[in-house]
Amino acid sequence: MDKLLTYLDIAQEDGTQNPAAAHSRVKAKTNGAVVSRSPAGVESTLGGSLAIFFGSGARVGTGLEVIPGTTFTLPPGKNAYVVGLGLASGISVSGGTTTFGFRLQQGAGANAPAVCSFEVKLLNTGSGGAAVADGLRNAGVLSVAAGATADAVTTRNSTFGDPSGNKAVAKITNTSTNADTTVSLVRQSSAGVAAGTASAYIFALIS
Amino acid sequence: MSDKFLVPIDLAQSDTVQNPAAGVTRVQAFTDGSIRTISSAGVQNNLTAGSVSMQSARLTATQANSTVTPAVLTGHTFTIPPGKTALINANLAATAAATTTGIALGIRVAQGAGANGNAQGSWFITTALTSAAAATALEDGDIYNVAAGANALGEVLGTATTAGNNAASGTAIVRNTSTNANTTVTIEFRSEVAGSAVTAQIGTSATCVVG
Repeated sequence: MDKLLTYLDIAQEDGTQNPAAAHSRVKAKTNGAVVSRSPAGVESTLGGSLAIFFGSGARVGTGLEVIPGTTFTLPPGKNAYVVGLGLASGISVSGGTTTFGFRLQQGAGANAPAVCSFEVKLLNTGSGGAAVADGLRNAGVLSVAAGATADAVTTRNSTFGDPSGNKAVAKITNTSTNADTTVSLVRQSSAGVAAGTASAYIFALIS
Repeated sequence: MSDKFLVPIDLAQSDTVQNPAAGVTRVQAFTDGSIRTISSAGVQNNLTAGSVSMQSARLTATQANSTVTPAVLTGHTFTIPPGKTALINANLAATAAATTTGIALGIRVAQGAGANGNAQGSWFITTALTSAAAATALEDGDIYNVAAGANALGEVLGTATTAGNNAASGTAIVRNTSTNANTTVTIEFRSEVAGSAVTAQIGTSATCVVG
């Protein structure tokens, strides 16, 4: 039996039982998206997905570590706009360095890389501290091949063991068609301070 | 009664209203209950993967504040329902009555009375120190952990000396961990100097994406 390929026309209605004269059309685009199109030609894309992560974790050692709860998966062909904020311990310790940002890991066997543009800023002010004028910024691009891992981070010497006001923003694309990209927030404090609670938050929009 | 015909829905692809392209996109149900579109290249979009909403606000008239008490920018009040998380971005453009009067931008989080969980998150605000593009700004950030009936303000005051300042931007991630009350987020501004006005300009705006 031949397939019947069609559009789906839906009557417009604003909540009463009487449909308006116009119709909206649901149709597919050549890029695979499904859109609704109004009689005036305004299109809205249906679907998409949103991933939101909330991460907090205790200070563990001095290595560059993934912040618990901040890892999400970017499926093949998907884009993500990601913001990471936070990291306030309430503990001030002089000396050492602090690192904050994103870690990207491209799946083994991926037929294309994960690519990323990013900006990360660290402030030298502790939790509840004064506003400062010396934010240290790093920005750049990454291309992460199959099975590889790369970090989009900024490192600074810190008067405080875990400065507040860290901000990381990235646009990440998984250009492969056959493997996932894993994205996480990472942090490191080389001051080796006593255990405390470091709070970091990640918000990702995926489409 | 006839048997059901359970079939995928194939939609003709087209970038114009009337002329379909050769490819086909399929709408199909999966055993996990999701409904997805699948393009001819195998790219899937999940139509049932949750919801996103965006609230936004924009000043359509100037707004002055000549006090050192934060005032809510007109219309810049956003609601985060129980269990939801939001990404807030705000941009303030302002003028000051004197070059020695600075401006402050703040993001306030208030948790509903009787909430059974806190509003938690983090903020980061940058306030310029000059009225022209320059390499100087004051920046700060911290976390939110706001209990029921309480509120917390994240704010950066741009102190002004001889050049004044006129711009600030802020970002916050806020999660409403309660199941029974809303979190309210307001964007606020104030003057550095009591009695010397700062005026937020038309176009000052903010967005709140909730998911």
